[in-house]
Amino acid sequence: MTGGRLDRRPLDGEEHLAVDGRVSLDGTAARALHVGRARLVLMGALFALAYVVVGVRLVDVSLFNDGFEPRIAQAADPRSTPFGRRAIVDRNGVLLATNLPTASLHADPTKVPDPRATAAALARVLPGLDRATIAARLASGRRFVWIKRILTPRQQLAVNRLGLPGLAFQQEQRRVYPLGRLTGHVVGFVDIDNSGIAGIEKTFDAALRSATPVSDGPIRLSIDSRVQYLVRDELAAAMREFRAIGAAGLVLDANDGEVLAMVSLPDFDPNASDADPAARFNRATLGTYEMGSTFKVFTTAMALDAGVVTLRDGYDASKPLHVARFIIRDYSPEKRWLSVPEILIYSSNIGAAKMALDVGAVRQRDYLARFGLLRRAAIELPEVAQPLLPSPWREINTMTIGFGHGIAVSPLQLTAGVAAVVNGGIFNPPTLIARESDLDAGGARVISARTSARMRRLMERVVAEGTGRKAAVAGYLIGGKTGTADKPGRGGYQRRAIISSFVAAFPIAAPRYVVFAMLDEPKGTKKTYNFATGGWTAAPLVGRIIARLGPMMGLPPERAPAPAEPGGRVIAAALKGGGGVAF
Amino acid sequence: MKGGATLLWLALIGATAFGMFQLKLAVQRSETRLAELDRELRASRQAIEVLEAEWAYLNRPERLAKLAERHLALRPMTPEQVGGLDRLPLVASMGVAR
Repeated sequence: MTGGRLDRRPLDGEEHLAVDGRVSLDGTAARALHVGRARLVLMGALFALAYVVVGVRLVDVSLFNDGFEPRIAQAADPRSTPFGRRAIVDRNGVLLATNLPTASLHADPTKVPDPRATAAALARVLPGLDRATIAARLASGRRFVWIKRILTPRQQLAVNRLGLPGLAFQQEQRRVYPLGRLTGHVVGFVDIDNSGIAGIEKTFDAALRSATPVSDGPIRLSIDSRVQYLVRDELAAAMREFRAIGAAGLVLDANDGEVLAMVSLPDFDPNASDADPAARFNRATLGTYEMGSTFKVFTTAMALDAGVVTLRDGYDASKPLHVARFIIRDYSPEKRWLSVPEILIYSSNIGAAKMALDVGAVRQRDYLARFGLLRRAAIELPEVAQPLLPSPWREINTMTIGFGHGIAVSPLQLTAGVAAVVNGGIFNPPTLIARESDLDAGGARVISARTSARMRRLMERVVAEGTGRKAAVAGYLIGGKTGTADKPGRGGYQRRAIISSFVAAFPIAAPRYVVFAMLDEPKGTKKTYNFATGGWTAAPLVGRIIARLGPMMGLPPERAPAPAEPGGRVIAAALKGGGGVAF
Repeated sequence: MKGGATLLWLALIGATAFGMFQLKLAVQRSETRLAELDRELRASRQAIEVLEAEWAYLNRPERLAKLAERHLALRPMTPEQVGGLDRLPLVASMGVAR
């Protein structure tokens, strides 16, 4: 307490001058100041951080990212179709289905100054438009009325030229099929909303809709529109000649199963929405028929392949065969012992039935299954029929199936099976989509190459000396087999209604094509001495198809031309033919 | 010294702003052109598609067959008319260049 310096306690909130001259605070004031300073620093740090964030983002946006602008300008993909649904083309790129932009005319009646004059002007340029109805519609006072759906470009131009107020166009697409009825059954058609409801249009509906730039080319079919045309042309002519109620024709690539032509008559125009339902029926895939004698090709092939018979063996066909309550007869009986080749050449039911019996039901089923005859054809169409098989598969069924009765298959199945018989023994599932190469056919062996070679020779003899003589073509060696079957009717077979068919392979030495033609209920003519069987109706039809198909495909004639009827159509055409143009 | 720095910055800001606007305008012009070209491309493609459909329609085999029958003296080719070079007789004496 002594020493002259008053040592007193500082009062609260009192300022002191420190040694360095700064004011130092104590107590409450000092604390408050500390808090304030700490807050300032914190705020400053936050602001600094915010600025740093903004700065970084600025650099990021301006230097590293370029916002929503794409770095590289992209041109629209040249392959992408402008309007949705993809096109369908044939194997040569001919358009089978495409879209057309069409305009539909509508109006806003509130903006139409003179409904009567407008209606009169429209009726002048749009034929089929009723002036009074349109005038009434335009005077209705509504905001939207249709005038006419789907105009032609010319009509659209004419309406535009009128320059009338209140009218407007709406762009719509319409699926069109330039070749019309030629490919109606194959390509199918779409409904009003452009979704496929038949044929390829239905099978590939999803793929046709997705217009992704990557997979955007058209769908390429295996169909060749030229071949399609010639088959249809000849079928239609034969149908008229023999007054048949229907016809079907197929051309298959023998070595990879591609369908070059698939025709079913009567046919329909897919561009017209009101086609006859009966005409829409595809006989080539949806129809199943008892094919008759063409099945003897399979019977002979399996018997030879299984080693049940050799070409020197034979069967007694001198009298009809009685099995249970059935009698198996020959159509034109030879009434003698027939060798295996003769059974095929003269088309003996008795011989084929006996041969089938020797093959046995189990092996017969196995072979038929591998020829693709017991399951629905794996073709890319929704209209495919299930074959009709006997159940149970008795001995009598084995015998009748030996000559093509008691089993009903589609023409496509039969043709694909015959292709397997002649092409070296490989069954390729038929397809309507163009294959990139023969290698991806994915076939399975059914009979040996040796059996196939023997079958080719036998089928050649059917045309050279047997029931298929009328199929002979000047210039090409072909092999084939006729088929005639009574159509099943109510309570048994009908006498007068038959299915006549012919299936051929050519050039028979190394087949490239298998051709099938079928006439439904043909009637004989004077020229055919009232015969309507396969040999008289379908065989010459197939011959005519081959005579046109061979040159079109650039197949040179073979050295030894098959004998043709003198004065026949083929020879006559050859003599008259000057230049060449292939249709 | 301080005033000089400020002037320099102001000049830089001005130059940058001018450059930015120039760039923006150029991009806008390019974009308009791109849209225009895209539109033209689409229109051309539509036209091509329509023309292709018409081409296919006019080339219908039955129409060609009818036209050929009416206007040409040609007939469908027969097998005899197809051949290879090896079938041609040699004309060695004439010295035809191959």
